[in-house]
Amino acid sequence: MPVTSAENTFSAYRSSRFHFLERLKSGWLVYRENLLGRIGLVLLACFACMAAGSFIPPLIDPIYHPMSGVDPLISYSTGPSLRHWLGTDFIGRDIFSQLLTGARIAFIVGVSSAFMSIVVGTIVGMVAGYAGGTTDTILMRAADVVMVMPTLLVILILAALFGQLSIWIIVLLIALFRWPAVARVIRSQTLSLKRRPFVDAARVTGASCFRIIFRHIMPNVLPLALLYMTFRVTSAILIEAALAFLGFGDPGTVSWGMMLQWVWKTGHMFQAPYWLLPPGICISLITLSFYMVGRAMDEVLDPRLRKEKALE
Amino acid sequence: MNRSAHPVVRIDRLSKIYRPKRTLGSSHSSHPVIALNQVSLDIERGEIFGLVGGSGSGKTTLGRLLVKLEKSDGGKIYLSENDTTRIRGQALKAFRAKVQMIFQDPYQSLNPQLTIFDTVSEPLIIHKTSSRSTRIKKVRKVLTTVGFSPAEDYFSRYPHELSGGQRQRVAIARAIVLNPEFIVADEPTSMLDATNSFQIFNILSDLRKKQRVTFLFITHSLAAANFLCDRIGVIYHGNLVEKGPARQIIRHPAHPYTKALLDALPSYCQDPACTFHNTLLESPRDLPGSSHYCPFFTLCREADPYQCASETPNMIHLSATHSAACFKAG
Ligand SMILES: Nc1ncnc2c1ncn2[C@@H]1O[C@H](COP(=O)(O)OP(=O)(O)OP(=O)(O)O)[C@@H](O)[C@H]1O
Ligand SMILES: [Mg+2]
Repeated sequence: MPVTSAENTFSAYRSSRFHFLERLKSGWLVYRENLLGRIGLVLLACFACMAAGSFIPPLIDPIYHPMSGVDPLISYSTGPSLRHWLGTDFIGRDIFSQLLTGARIAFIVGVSSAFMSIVVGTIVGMVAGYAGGTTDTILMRAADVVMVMPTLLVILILAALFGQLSIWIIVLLIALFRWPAVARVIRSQTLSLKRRPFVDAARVTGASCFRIIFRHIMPNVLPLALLYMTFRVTSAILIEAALAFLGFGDPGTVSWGMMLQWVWKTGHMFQAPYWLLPPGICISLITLSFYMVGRAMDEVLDPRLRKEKALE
Repeated sequence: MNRSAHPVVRIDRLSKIYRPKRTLGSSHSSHPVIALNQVSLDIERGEIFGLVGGSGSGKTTLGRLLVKLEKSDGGKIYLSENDTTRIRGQALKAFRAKVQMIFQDPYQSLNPQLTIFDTVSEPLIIHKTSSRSTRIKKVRKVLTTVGFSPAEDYFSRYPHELSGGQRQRVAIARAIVLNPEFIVADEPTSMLDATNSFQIFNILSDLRKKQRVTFLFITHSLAAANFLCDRIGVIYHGNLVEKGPARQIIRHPAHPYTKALLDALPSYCQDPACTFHNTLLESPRDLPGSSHYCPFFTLCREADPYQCASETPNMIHLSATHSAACFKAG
């Protein structure tokens, strides 16, 4: 069948997307064999629904606003009721709607800071691995210095110095402290990739370092970077929760760590399990589910496992 | 042929030494490897020059030096009589458009994440030679040249969807898309079966005939070199030991190492008139104590225990075109 050249141009142009979908599909075939991975995904889906649903309660009635919505009839903490499914906090705000908002904040904090640390870590790792020599030494020593700094402690000190940090500053700080491990992994991957003949072939055609790093090496390290992102999400959520619980969170946001801090600060730790348990359980579960998804993705990326599955 | 008029590539006493990297903690230092020892060669425009030698003899090293994937440790490389040994920047980029390489392993030399179209058109993008529509035309043309038809059907494929022979042809297409003057082909068929190898040979010799591309064809087999090449150079442990017209080398080998390579060819001695040269020692000799000796001394049955152990042989001209580095030659 004769094909017109316009169509071919089109297909050549579209091809990278199709390849990506195809790889995604074969990855999914391996992924879904993994029980932990499936549980993790289901849990994440629940949390995503919570985050999406967090916009609904304030629309129903302003008293359900997680921050400013105070029930006019209640001015102290009450247990679960039909009006407030999980009860209210010390000034009569609805705990359930706070919990939903907490999910949204957890996703925002986790994903955005993980994304930033992955971008920085991947670029630093690729440049260090490809350039080698002094560049490599300098970048990796810098990574070592940042890596040995205790993230939480440093952010606490910064918070003590500069007063309350906004949630975006916290996200940025977490990202700044979490890239070195990613950089190390991506660097070692780059070291083995740059010995592959296709990199030599690109050099022979005159490709610049920039082109080799971003066109030839990056697509090959991206899956690994994505895997690391799931683990970074876990640690970012935990750090934000710890900061908030210790009283250094952003007072303008309702995160699960913030809720725990309110429980503790107002002395309801042992009086109001309906208030203490939900955010605690949510923090544990969301980090656990990101971790499980990461482990399952690890398996997908393991080429040996992948081949065995493909042969079946 | 008007010999020695304008060689495309001239290399003059080119050397390469791999020094072991000093790592902390390892006190014992391994020896530096002399991968190439003062190799001199001319490659004429439009010829296929065969570089033959055993494993580890430095063939790939010479190829990589010629395409500037590695730096030399002495000697000079001229492209069309311009010294290109130390070029960088824009001059290097211009050089890259003229000199290309085809690698040994087609399973490793194509980026698994790029389509065939992206792979073959990349050199055009790098050297900014054309608009997108002319790029498509050029890619279609070179893919047709290397035997893909209809070429469009392969544009959006990925390397893992192609056979080894097809991949190697894609690698050739990428190498020729910029119309280079000179291509180093490093054992392009060693991973392929006979039919695919034959197809690749035909593509290379067509390119030479129709587009006057000059090739350095690296192989470990004298048979392949004889089939494809105009002239042959034989390399042993980084030393060029014999060079000359392919026929001459096959019919009248002068160096004992070349003779040993010929003996090793399975089909060579079916002709009853021809005899085994039998130049290899069964067990290697000890190295002579002196610092100058023939590099082939340890394995050579014909070696003179005095002269070959105390002098390094220079290239001796046996005829206008044929020379060998052996005291016994000529
Ligand atoms: N990057 C390197 N570092 C150290 N030594 C090397 C390196 N590359 C090659 N060598 C050494 O240089 C010598 C020549 O190697 P080269 O790859 O050129 O051989 P070859 O003739 O291509 O062999 P083959 O037929 O197996 O491909 C070998 O002794 C090898 O060990
Ligand atoms: Mg080789």
